[in-house]
Amino acid sequence: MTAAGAQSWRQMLAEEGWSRHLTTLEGWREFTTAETIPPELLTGQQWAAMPETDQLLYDEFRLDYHTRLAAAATSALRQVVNTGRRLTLLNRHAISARRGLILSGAAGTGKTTAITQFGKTHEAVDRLRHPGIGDRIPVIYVTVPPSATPRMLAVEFARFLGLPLTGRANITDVIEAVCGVAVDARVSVVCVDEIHNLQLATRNGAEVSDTLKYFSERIPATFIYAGIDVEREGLFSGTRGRQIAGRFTLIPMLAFPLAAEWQGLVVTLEDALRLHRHQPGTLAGLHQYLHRRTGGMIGSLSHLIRGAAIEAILDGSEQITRKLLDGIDLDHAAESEAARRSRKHT
Amino acid sequence: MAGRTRAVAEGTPAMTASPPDEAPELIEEADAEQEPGPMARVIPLGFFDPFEEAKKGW
Repeated sequence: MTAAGAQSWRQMLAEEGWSRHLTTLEGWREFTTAETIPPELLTGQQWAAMPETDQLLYDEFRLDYHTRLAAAATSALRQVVNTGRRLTLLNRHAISARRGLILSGAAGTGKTTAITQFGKTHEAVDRLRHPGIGDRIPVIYVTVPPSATPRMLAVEFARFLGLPLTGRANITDVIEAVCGVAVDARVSVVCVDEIHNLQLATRNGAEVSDTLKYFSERIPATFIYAGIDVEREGLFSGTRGRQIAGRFTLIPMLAFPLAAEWQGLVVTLEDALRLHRHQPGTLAGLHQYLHRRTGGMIGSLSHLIRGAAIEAILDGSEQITRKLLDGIDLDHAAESEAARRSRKHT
Repeated sequence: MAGRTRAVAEGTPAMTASPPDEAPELIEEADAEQEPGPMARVIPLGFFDPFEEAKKGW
């Protein structure tokens, strides 16, 4: 590999949005059109023949690749995509009471990955059905801010769409602008993440829920929510909650048990590594250890393996070992769960 | 950089991983520090590809 290779790494790194935000149309479009291309590993001879600047670029490209591996095709992700697909078809001609989907589970169970991959798939479908039409916005992706008010939520929608807002715009102005643009741009899926920030027991939470419901009545789209343990946090309680429960399908997102799918997940992530000295099968042989460390959370597993891969490139070892994995810190939830299990077994 | 030079120069000339659509053979432990575990034939889940999924005709 060669100057042409170096040129392509340089170009792909330059095109990468370092400050990409999914909650803006620009960032979302970048995400939904991006393909993950695994870097080709060079031979020692090819690497030695490159100038040092290209060697650094080569490593930078591999670091970048390992920071954002593609999403593994887990059964939960497939269920979300299939259910979402079915609901968008069912809702296509519905004039009221459209059905929605809620993904609920602990942190690190892959909710955001699932909702965004569904959105990305829906965008790809829309581009296939309407090629060359650039003014369509098939998907809106927003997150519910902490302690959200109805105006804050409406502004999140407006911000995604890139609508200019003056300080004087009241909530009705914002909602009208959002609904108008959403209908004109043929929005057909609305993804609302971090829905656990909506507390129905509070006045603000109830009003935000009403605002979401109003959006769902004005925008002819399928609404998909994702949040942490929402059924336990009261999202289905009271009159408003019962209305949500009556219209939304709930998909629980769970930790993986120590079973065949977990092993398949570990093997998939290991296959994706682009390290020069990594011994294939190392991580597969450590699947029990990895489950113990992460509590079966896909988010923690991904963080652990990607973190170890980055460390292996930076320290020049170019392989992931048990010792290297031991040195990678995980999120507090995973570490606490691992400590609890350890105490239980001693 | 010395460590990196050695690692890359001695590294495998091609990708270390098995092709994505091919299940790996029975996996054996890679070295002595690894933890033993019962290993059956493991089928990789593969990666989710929204662009391929979209071609299935929604």
